Amino acid sequence: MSTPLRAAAVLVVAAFLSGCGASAAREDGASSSGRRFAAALAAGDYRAACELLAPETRDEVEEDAKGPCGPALRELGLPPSGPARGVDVYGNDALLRTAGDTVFLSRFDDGWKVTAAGCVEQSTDEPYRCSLKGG
Amino acid sequence: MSSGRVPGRRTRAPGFWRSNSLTLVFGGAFLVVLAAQAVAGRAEFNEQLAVDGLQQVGFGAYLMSSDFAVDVTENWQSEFLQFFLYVFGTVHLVQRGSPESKPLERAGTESDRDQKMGDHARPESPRWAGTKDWRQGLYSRSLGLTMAVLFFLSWFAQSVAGVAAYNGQRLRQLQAPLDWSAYLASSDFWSRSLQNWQSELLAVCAMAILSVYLRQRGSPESKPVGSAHSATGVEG
Repeated sequence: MSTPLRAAAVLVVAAFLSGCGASAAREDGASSSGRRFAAALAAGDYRAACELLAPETRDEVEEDAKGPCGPALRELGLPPSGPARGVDVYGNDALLRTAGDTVFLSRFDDGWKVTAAGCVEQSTDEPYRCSLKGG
Repeated sequence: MSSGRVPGRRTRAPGFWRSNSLTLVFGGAFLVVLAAQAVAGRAEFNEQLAVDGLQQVGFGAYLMSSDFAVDVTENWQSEFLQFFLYVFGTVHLVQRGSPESKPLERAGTESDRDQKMGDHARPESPRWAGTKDWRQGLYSRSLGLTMAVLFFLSWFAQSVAGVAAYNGQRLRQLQAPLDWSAYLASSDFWSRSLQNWQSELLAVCAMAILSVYLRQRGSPESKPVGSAHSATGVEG
């Protein structure tokens, strides 16, 4: 194999391997944030749960409730999460399925944040119906 | 002004840059335009993210993203498809009066003598052209086959990058992601493919017929300016 071809092959393999590594790190990051969100809700620590909401989602919760995030989140009565069943990550967006809930997340500078929770699947191309989501 | 050669002065062979100017200029322009596409693509992608209230992506992250990859590969596959179809199609299909076409009576794969193959290979012919086995068969179709392989590879890359980019968009819209096989049946995959294919086919069709009647002085893609409209397979 000529030198340029070998260099190109090395680049492709390196890009593929780094992509796989990045993908595993993203899955871990999204799952971890989802679990911390569920744990905060289960513990009644709504302030911590609010910290894990994406900015637009938090704004929407406060706007809808016309009050602070914590009490508004408690009022929503999101379902208990349960054990994780799988996570799908594409770029900076993720879907975490647990036994009791489905949560959407997005990656920000300070980590993965919940964009929607309390989501129920509809037919194939219909968006999930979520009790908590951004505008 | 005199345009003749100066008597007694030897003509220097063109240097590397001059000898390869077509490849070098278009290769360089490709890189510049690819970089410009990345800049514009990132700005557009970030506009969509801003609407959704999500984190903006940096330039490096966008270059590694499936969104950039699918936008690049959907165009690559259609270009290679165009040349694959053109290279194979012009073996049998002709256009009277077009420099892109062979003379009508030469349609087909032509004789070994015409193609300088096998016993008719010349000392300067590529080595595999002078063989009589699979190497000759492969080499005699290597241009079209390479275009076909590049088309299928880049179309496959489009599908892999496309499903990731499409699923990212679906997640932002609170929809469930699709697997690869479902994506191959999706409107996104076929819309991206077909919108590129139609434009490539239009360009080939336009080139074949417009070059019958129009000329570009000095271009091998055109007939000589004074050639008759009916002259076929003549390059300027």
